[in-house]
Amino acid sequence: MDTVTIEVIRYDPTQDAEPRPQRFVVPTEKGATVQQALMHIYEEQDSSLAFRCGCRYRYCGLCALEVDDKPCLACLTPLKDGQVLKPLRHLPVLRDLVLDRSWVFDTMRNLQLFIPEMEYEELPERIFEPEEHKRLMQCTECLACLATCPYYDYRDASFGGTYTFVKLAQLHFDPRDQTDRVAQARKLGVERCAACRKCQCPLGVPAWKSATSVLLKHASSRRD
Amino acid sequence: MALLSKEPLGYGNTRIAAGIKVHPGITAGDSENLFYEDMLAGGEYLNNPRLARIVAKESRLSSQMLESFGYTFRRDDEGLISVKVARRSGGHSLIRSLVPFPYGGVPIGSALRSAGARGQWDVFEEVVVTRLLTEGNQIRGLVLLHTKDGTLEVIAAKAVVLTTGGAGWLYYPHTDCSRVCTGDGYALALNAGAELVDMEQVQFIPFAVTHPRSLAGMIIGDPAAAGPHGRLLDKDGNVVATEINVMTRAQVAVIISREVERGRGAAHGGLLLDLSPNFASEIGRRYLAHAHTNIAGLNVVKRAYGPQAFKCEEPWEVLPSAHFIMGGVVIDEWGRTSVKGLYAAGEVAGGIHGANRLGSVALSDILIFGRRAGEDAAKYAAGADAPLKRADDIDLEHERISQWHAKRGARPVQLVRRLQTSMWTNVGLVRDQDKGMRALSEIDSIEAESAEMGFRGRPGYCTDLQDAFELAFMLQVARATARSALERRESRGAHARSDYPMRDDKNWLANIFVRGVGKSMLTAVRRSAAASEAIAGIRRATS
Repeated sequence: MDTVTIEVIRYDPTQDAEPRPQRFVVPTEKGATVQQALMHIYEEQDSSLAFRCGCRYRYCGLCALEVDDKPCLACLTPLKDGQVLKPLRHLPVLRDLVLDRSWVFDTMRNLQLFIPEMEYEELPERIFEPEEHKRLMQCTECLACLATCPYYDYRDASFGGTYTFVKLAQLHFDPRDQTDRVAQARKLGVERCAACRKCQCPLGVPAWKSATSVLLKHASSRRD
Repeated sequence: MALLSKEPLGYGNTRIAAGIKVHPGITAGDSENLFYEDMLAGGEYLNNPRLARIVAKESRLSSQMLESFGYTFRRDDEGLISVKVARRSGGHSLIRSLVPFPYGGVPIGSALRSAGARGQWDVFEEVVVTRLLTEGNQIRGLVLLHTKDGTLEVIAAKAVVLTTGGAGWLYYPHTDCSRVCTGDGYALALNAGAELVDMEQVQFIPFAVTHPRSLAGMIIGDPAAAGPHGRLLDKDGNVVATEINVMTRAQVAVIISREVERGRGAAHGGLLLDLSPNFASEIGRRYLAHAHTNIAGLNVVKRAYGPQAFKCEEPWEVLPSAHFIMGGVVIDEWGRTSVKGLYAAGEVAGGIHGANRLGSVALSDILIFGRRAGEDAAKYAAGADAPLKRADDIDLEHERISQWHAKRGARPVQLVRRLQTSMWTNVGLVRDQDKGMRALSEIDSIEAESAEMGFRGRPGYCTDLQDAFELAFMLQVARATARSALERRESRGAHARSDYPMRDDKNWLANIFVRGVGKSMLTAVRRSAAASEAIAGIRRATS
């Protein structure tokens, strides 16, 4: 049986002062993924390993992590010898590779990241959905983008970060939405993004091109 | 009011759906009645006709609901929802299914969560509901486990609406469902005294990936994915089926499994789907061009089998994969179960789709019955007495957890895997008496071993603990499924038996009901309420 050796950064806030690396030797085969290795470790080697697993292919957004410092989805990342697996940086870790995601729903509420309630009769029959909206709506909310953002830190409420800017831009492009999403983005520091462009999405959602840069452009034009 | 979710809210099974939603009336000649008749014919008359009628009537309303949550259906050049952005989905007699572009249900999942954030209710994320609390035949609350820190909590409630989804995970790795679909709602309902119907009706999507292991079970497509000229071949290249795209999901799944059981399967246990005959005709080429840009399933093929396979010039292996449970908790038009204050909506509810769910109807069903159950539960709760918590409400859970921590038997995940293997082998694509009995004896044996299972305790994110509670649910659902499959001595819809290979309208225009738990589970057979429609429908089909 072919095997590879990988390292997982473990952390149990009830016991560990610092995150600690642990090595595992896991079987591999053609087409093996990081997700598969994690499931193998849990089932066969170490029942205490905590990680998230949802749909096993691309859509649910739960299994995001860093492999060799690169934010990605475990289900889409080929397993290779020597890989180092870490939780996404800049985000609160509950245990091992599992992030606390409860702030996502709180953010949606606090920033009112939804279109206003409408009677069915008030809904527009004709909608010309902007291309940007279509692309941004493909966001699976895996949060990997936040680990690519150099300014984001979950403890700093003054800066929104890529994920929030994508959500704001979705609504900015939604013909049904009435709220000034650019003003919200400005309040959340989108102007800090001006010289950066480092935000990336593992699934190719154009976070910079169709979200951050658009909000930034509108925010900057209001400066005077 | 509170919203409870096993995963962080919005990361469940709905968002991984294909995102295709039925919207009847966009093709000339379509009608509520025609859609209703399609549902019954496709469901082979096991549907509860009143529930199917509601879906036919309210599907367009449910599209509006979804847009009011923030979803946007794909529009034509005029900005309108029309037949130009729709396709004929499996089992429908005409075009009435809206297809998203880009493909996928992710924006639907996001819209549902956005709508969830609009209301002022409490939210409990990452909780496993371990038990419903009842007083007599009435709901008074529930017990839940917070998976984050391992604590238990009791919530008093006048009404509970189960929207827990299905049980595809019973067949892992042969499923395209998320890991959360462990059938919790069915088991909670049974434990509370409610009834399940037609649990033998498990829909397998005919075309899914066979290898590599990381992608096994992932959906390629339903029969329409074969295109007008696609065909199925056995390991030696003999043609097993043609004109696949007009068959139901169940028919194709049964063909594949019969050939595989006959030893005609290819290297990874599946049959070979050959799309290449589509190159020979204009409509075939048009289909392939569409498929290469619009169908996510072919991207899975590229990932699993490589870029050469993606071209569709050569056949590749496919095997059915558990996709949807047609059976479920017995409900009425308002999602009410036989337990006062207990409601069910979505995949966990049964009877809507009979023996086979037509493509694209699930995304209507969840909204229609979600709304109905919610409205009625609110009305009911306004008039019901405030429920009381009792000091000993959590004792049972504490006792179970301390047992698991004390014992030294198998780990829960090992028993879960054993159960899944048995379900796929014995209550999978083609069933028979012997397999059914083997399934039940394996369920008994796993249940016995689960009394001795053990694992190390620790407070937060103990996946073993979640697995242990889920195994108990899965055992109940497995038993209900196996018992119903043994009971139905015919082949109908998604339920195929090699010892009763024919549909038997004389004896089996009937629903199978399950009640009770464990070895005292009882089944009952009652004439299908759609039986008279069936006779009329069969007459229409043969005239």
